[in-house]
Amino acid sequence: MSTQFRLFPLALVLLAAAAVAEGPGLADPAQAARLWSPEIRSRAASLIGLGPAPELTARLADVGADPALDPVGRDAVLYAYLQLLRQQPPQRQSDAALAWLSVYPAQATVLHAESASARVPLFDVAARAQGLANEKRHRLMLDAVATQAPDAVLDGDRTAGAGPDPTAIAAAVAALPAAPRAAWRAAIAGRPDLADGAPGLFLALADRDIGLAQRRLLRADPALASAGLKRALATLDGVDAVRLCGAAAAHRDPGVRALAIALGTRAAQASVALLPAWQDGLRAALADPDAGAAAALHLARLLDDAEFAALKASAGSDPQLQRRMLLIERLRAAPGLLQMDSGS
Amino acid sequence: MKRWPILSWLLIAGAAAGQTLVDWTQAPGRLGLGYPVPIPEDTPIAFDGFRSYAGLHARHQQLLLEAPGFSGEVVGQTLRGRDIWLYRYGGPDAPDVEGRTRPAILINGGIHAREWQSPEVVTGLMELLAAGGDDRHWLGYLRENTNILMLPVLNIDGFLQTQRYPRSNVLDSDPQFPQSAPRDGRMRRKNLRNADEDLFSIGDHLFGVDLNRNSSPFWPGPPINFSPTGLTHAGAFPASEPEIQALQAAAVAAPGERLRFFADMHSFARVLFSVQTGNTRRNQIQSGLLAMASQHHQALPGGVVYTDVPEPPNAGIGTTSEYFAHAWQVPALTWELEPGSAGGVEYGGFGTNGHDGFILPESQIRRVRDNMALTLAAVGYHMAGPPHLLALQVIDEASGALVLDRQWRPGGPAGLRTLDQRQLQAIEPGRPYLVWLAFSKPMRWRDDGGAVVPFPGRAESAIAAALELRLGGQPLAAQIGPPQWSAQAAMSPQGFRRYRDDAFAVRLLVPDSAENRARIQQAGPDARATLGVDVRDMTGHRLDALPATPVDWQGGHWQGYEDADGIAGDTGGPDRQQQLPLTVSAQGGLFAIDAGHSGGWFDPSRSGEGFLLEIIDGERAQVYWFTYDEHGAQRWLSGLGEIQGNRIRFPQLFVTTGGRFGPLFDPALIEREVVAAGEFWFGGCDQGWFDYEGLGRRGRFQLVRTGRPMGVDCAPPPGAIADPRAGQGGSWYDPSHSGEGFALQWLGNGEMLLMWFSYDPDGRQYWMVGTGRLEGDEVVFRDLHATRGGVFGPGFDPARIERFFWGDLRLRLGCQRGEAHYDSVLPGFGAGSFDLHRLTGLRGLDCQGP
Repeated sequence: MSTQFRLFPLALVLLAAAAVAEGPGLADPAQAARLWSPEIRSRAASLIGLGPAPELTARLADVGADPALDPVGRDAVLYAYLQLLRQQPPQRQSDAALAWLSVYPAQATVLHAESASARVPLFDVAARAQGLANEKRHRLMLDAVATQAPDAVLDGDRTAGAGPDPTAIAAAVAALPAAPRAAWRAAIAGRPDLADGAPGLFLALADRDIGLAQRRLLRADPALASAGLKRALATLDGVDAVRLCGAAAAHRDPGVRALAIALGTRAAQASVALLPAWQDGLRAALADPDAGAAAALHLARLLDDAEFAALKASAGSDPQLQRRMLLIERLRAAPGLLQMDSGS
Repeated sequence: MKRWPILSWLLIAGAAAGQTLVDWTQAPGRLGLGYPVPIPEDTPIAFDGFRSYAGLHARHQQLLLEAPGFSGEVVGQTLRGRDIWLYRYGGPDAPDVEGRTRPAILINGGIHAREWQSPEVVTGLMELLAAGGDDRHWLGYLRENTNILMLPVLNIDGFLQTQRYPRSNVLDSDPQFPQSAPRDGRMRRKNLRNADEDLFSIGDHLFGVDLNRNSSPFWPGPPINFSPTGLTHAGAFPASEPEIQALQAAAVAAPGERLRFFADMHSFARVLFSVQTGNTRRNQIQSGLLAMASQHHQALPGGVVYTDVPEPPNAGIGTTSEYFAHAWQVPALTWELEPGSAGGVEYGGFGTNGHDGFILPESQIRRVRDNMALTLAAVGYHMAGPPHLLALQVIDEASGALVLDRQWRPGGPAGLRTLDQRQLQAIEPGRPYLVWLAFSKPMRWRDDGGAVVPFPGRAESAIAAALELRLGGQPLAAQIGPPQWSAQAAMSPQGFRRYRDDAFAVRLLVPDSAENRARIQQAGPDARATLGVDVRDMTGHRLDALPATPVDWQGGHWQGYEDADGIAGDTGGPDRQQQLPLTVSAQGGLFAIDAGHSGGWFDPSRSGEGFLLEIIDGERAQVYWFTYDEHGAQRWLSGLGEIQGNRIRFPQLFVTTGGRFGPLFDPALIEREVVAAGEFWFGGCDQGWFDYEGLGRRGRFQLVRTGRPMGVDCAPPPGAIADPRAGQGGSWYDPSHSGEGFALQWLGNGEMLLMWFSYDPDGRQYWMVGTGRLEGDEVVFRDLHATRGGVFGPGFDPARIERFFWGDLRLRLGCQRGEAHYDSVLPGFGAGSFDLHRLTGLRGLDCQGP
């Protein structure tokens, strides 16, 4: 049994629909272990044996009302069924069954971790089913990207409702080998919304087309620009990453500008050749009313005492720069603040 | 400490197993979320993602240094010795606009390490307040009237541990739920008591105290968890943990007796776990408050619903919110942020492990942060207190003249407000008026198109306003138009008072019917109609119907919050304190301001400070207010005002800095700062009032003249100018000294009144006044004097004013150009001259020539 298949939402730490402590009695949290009992696993396995049969939903409903099982047992069987179903190919996961399970009301509840009275499901069957439905859509999308013509996938993706993260498709496309990626590139180029969206940006990054990526990044909304910058740092070499981050420092959104400063600094730190020029850029960025604080944070980390003294001396009497110097000073003085390398 | 090499650690099944969080891929030891794994970034500025602690701290410190209204202090240290910062918006030392100690609300973040939404949301509130504090609306109101305390990250040690390992945690080791409860790393909840910061030293990774189980009065539960490895270990005793001690220190520093609200921000479930005590009034106020907050949030983009789940009264598990509800008697709750109960599946996640609810997708945090900041600001607005009707003005519609002014002013005995009234005329039947009503806080919300709409989440009926007139206890027939709320800075009745939409105007006509006349006559010469005003603020508070007793928070409920019958409670009611005088007798006409109101004006009880007023063309006026600062040094303010009827409004009175007396003066260094607003209104040619608000004060001067200007009379039109010199009156300056100058007027007695607004040799504002006489072609001021010893505001004592000789001044003036020569006896001033140009001229006094 692999690790992730033994995970399920338990009462003390997992949160679900809260309700005041009324109605059926609370379950003992220790009953969570019944999920792994042979009886429960066996009944779940028998349901799996039905595949996506038309009568599956009725059989699931039978379990939910089975007088031979107590509330914990009923919920446990259905939850175990979902665990096993997840190992099946998407085509064997019944949409009707997932829809029914997605609204299944828990029968066994325990106290919420932060409450003396509110209850949460011992086994959150509904949430588990909704998650599996999401995962199924994701897996089907991956299959489609790998096997279908781009236009067919792109047209089919325009369905409403919760589904794969928008950047997931873009990431899947960008991960394709060069030849199929070329077909996608052509398809996306003909669709301005996609060209200016995640697919266009991620493809440009995958192609190492820095000029195109730069243009698309600057046009992107803040959310996409941020995702794109993070992806750039993961996929590009240092020089290209620094170049792209430098360009993104002109983005209209101050959050993106500041993020570009942060990520660009990380990329530049990997290269002795890149760092000095980047540091000059940080010094210049200090005056930016918004993103200048990001430059201050990174200069606080990068500069030694002498370099900081020189920077301070060069700041002149400009009140904004003086405040930024004070910010650097405070950040350098915060115990342990700058030593931790987060984002590992 | 036992350390396991990472490679073997990932492969081991048994006592503890590593789990790596990934975006989408599923594989043994890897948990696919269904969305990109959030990685904290070292950036201070909010973006579509999560900030590292260094980034957040940099942002907090930046706001502390750069945003007006913020202060901060260290209230304790974590177990690892890291400073725990408390930030304030509005300080405990700065009084509210009435001079009272501000009410406080406290928002705590980051008590549970893995709940990254929480510090982001508290920081988002700081950012909202910093960005909007100048809005002259609800955020400006918060800045001036509340003390919002924000502790963005309480469990810094734990938070850093989760950020140190954003993709990793440990599975198969939880003593109670080994197969399901990931611990430490990204999934750490507790502080670091007896635990190190190394995820790979397994022996101690379960240790720590749950900081939300460490508070009285219900410590240690049930359920009781004294196991140091337990997820909800309660600690050795209440407040045993330094982080909780810091939070309690924050409450004391608030100060605690001013606290009115506490929220501990957590995730996830989208529920509000509110604490109930034995104080039913507190419980009801809390219930209403959280209903408002929930409705507000639901109305924001995303439509996210939060449900209030009140705990049973006097029960608990050791949370911080229980401590605040019981120890400080304030509404208090554990606020579980997004996602909802289903966790990450709401956003397309796979929900493989319900713990993904602690990992909000980066794509969602901007919305969560921004929306929750707005809702928390709404909570602050609500708990700042109910509104009261602060001022009423009745304006004659035809002439624009103010005929009645009633204002509640602070500073009465025993902390009460007193009603200050000025009446020029009574209300006449058949004559249309505009009634302007101003409240103590911004009362209305507007959509992007500028239309008044209900505050997000409120019903359409919430913006209704009910007004009625009663005479002798019975309704008086009157036509009262719909309220026109004021979003513009202008004089009443068009403008707001202090905040946008804190005032509205209605048209009032008492029909000239036989019945009305009979009733007014029957009521006698002191006939007064009662104006009833029933209106709610943006979040649903009704008026404090008795403004004389200011509303406060005591004993877990509102105090001094009366209904229309004067009964104190928690709901308020219609204000019926305003009396409108009525008459059927003929009254004299109302005059309007004209050229003759130019001149010097002062309050006889405040001899030693005053105003030089210039009525200029275009229904405008220029004023110079020569006064003092809080320390006895001179200060002068100036401004350009608009005239309406018998009033002149100066929306911006500014002070200047950067000047130096004499040749060191550099106009490029002069900076203007708006510090106050004021309004003159006149009851006649020689009588008036000046109301001001600013520099931390609000006050009213009762004014008389120092003298009438030559060549103009009070009654229009001005007659022929008796002496052509009169046209020289106005403001003069040297363009090379822009930022200082002279205001002068010829008086009817043949003297010239002059005020020289300038600076001293040390760069402080300085003014001299005097009267001069014509000697040949020069106006000679032989007794130009300065003063010291005054104090701005109510502490002013004319007996302490010291007037002393400064020197002499000689002016040679034409109509547009002139020159000035001065010679001071005081050190540092010396002698010099100016090349003068005219800046303003007095209305009605023409001056022909160069």
